[in-house]
Amino acid sequence: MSRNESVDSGMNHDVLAFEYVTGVMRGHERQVFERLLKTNDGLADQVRFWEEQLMQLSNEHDQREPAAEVWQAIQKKLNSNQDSIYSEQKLSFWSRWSIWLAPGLALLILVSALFLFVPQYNVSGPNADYVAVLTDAKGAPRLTVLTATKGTALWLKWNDLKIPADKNLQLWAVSKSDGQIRPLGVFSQTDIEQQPLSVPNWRLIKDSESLLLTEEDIGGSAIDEPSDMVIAKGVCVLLAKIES
Amino acid sequence: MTESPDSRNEELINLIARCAIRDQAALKVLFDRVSPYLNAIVYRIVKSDDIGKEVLQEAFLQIWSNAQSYRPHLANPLTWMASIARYRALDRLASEQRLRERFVSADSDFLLDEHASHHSPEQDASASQLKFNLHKCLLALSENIKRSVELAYLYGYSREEIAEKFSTNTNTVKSWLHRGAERLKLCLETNQ
Repeated sequence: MSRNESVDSGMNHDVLAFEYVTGVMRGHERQVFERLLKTNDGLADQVRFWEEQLMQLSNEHDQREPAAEVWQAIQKKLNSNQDSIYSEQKLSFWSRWSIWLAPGLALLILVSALFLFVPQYNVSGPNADYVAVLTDAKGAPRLTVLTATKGTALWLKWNDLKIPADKNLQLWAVSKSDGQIRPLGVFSQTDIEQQPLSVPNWRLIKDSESLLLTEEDIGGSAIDEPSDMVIAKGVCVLLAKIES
Repeated sequence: MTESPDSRNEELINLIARCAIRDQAALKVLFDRVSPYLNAIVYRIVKSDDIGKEVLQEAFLQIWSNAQSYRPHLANPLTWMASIARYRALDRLASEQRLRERFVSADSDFLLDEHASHHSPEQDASASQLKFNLHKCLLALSENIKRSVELAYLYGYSREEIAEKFSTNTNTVKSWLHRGAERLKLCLETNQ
């Protein structure tokens, strides 16, 4: 059996993880392993085990000051990326919001924590925008949902989500007033960044405690109830603007 | 560094979180805090200041772009960043044939000995239990296996380069590393 086959077959993953982390795994074999790593949580755990353990071989006091131009090059690269986006006038939603997304998300974390630890906490306020970061069972963000333009548009940012050919994903709102779960939309692909938001759906989001993303048959749930295949979920919070 | 590992980690986690929400000032602080350490890791592998600069730059751009996927409950922040830097350095090794040739030079012996001199279980015991356990388990391995692991992890040696170093063949090195991985895992788990 070749090395590549051994990576694919799942044989001796612990040793393979060790070879990957030490770096002796090279070339195509490494590429195959990295592909496998993206979908195999057990393997990722083994890699993290070795990364943490072998890290102890390095001495933190072994330091080498980098040349000053390294930071300048990083800064230039970051800024040039931004400039090119602006110059092409292809400013995506996420870039445009980045000006206040930082303080906004910081607030989201705070408010989310309040939701988690103080269930009675209730966000209320003027007609503003809402955001929900939907995470999977392991806490990895899969979808960020945001309402904008005073509730007329729904913005979506997908993270590493693939929809099986014979399935759709369906977004649901869990009402904080009556606990009912109501459908918000069905998606057959994960490259949709924006879609209009109807008035009823805007109300559902305003009234929602959290959002759910489930896997459903094509066309969405026939009974208007989410399936057991919950891909991700997250609390829905009022996103207050903060002057930056 | 006089701060405790916990407060240091907390600071790094906070900086990575700020990078996730695109705070460039946080990336600069992160760079100031960890770039000398990451640069040492990269330099040990690529052995070139010019290439090291490019690799370090790539590593920080990846830290910036992957910050949102960092999970503090899964990885120590410094380990997460060091792994990114090491993998970028290894990628560069793969693409730069001429860098491979440096390994047969004599200076790697010096570097290995110099680096190894920092480590003894007694010294490391005060650093952390994790470090102590690893070095204790490494010392239980045969000298060839232990040095093979160090050459690969610290200096980016391939199996072929390790084989050349020990005047043996690649299959022997492969089997040393397999045995090393199995025994090390067993020892580390027993000591946890």
